[in-house]
Amino acid sequence: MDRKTKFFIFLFLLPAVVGLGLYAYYFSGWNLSISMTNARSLIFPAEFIGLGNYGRFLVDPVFITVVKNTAIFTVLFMGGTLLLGLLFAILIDQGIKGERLYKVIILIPMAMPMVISGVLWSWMFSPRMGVINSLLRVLHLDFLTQPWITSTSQALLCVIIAYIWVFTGFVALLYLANIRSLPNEQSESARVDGASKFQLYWRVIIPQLRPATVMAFAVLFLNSLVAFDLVWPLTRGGPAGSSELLGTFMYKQTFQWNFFGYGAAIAQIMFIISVVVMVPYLYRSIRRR
Amino acid sequence: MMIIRRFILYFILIFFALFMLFPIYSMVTTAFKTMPEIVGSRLTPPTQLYLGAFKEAFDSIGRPLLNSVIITLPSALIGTFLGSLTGYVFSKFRFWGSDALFILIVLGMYIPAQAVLLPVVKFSANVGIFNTYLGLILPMIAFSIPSATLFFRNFYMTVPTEMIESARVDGCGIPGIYRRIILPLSGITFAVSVMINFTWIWNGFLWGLVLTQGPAVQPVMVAVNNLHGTYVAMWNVQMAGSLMAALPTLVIYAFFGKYITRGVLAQRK
Repeated sequence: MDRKTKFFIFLFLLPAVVGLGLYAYYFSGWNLSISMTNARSLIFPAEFIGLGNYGRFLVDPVFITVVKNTAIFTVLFMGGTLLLGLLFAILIDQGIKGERLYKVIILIPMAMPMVISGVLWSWMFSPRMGVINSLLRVLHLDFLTQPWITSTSQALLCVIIAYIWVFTGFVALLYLANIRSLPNEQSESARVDGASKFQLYWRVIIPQLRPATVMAFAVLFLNSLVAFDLVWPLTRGGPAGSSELLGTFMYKQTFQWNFFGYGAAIAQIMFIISVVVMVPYLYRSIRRR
Repeated sequence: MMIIRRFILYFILIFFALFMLFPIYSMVTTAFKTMPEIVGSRLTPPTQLYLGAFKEAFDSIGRPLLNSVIITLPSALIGTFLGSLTGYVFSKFRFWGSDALFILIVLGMYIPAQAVLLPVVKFSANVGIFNTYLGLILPMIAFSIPSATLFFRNFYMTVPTEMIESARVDGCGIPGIYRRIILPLSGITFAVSVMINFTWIWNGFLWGLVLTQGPAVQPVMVAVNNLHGTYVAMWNVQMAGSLMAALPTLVIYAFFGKYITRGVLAQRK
């Protein structure tokens, strides 16, 4: 490589390196250092307390609840979305009329801004005037009406339903693309052998859907880890912290109650989880080509 | 037997589509109703097209809508352009540390916003860009780069190296090759990347929430969230505001959703 080439490579990479170097890497390092202080103000200096904030995680009952909520949320949201997505991919794969329109329709929730989905579902789940309870009353199913987002036992479930609504169509399209890209021979030979439709999918097709599953897993996991935009207008983490997730808890600690050190430590945990889960995924997807 | 199967298939699919569309239907119909009409029934379509809720919502989110345009357009365009520069380099050149650098750039995609928010607020306040357009545009550009880089790199890998070699023999330098060969080939890829970036920046909420104060530079998603807080029982105003704020990305998806999903798929495969 001559010097001119080297110079232009440098020049082309410079904005990306400076931009990400500052906003992604320098700032996450800075966040790590804030997480080791008891900072409560942006101006006044703070005391270095080492891993004190991280030690607090073990004894803070609210934090433990938040982790529990986030785990429940992640498992139910991801499980529900993957299963429903797979189911609808298979149903669409049966050859239906109006497939193109159908694909557009089920992708709409994904195109909606998450905050607005949150506002929409708070209207759906509103106990007195809300759409779902109104629908139940119209159908004379009054006994099925629920307190929804106003109940400590149902709020998290409401968040999960809204999230499943957002992502199922997207996951279905992922699986559908994967199914359609499979070579025909195996399905053909299974059909010749007299396999039923169920056997065909269960034995031949589903085992080959690993690529779509891995990718959907990555997208859904990251979204449940950082969940905030939709939860905020829907429940604000309430009532009484019953739907509090890492994302909303971090925001409250940091930007509402000014516990900067503690908030930064929560963010740091999110950072570590994300990197630990995502780096192998990223490494594999880059190596494979 | 066959007919019954078909019937069940369509029944489930239609039920699912209704589940997907029901909140959207409710948003659109509620936005055009008067409050007494909403109290009367939440489910039926409006009997007349009442536009008062839109007017009221627009008073609160008109300015933020403009702010979102001012923030989103340059961020999406510049982020895409920078991504194409880095994507080009990583697709055609190998040098010491190029793999590691590439992974570090793409990894930026997986850093949770929360993990840098507080330092960004502090930094922005220190250099005087807190609560300015620039204060939001800069991080939006930075965090557009990882996915755009991956996207363009995968696309440029399919451009035959011979084409580039022959141009080099003809005396083109790297900028010349980029401008005469790479850029003209990237039309659709460029458009898709701009749309992907536009969508996530326009739809974004948390960044705007912590980096702005008051309606002067506030993006529209923050304003809609505030509408949700201030017009508590005025569901028509909330829904009218939501509809207006969601419209740009909904339109993009309705017309170009196919390209976007295909782009996202190509990006991660």
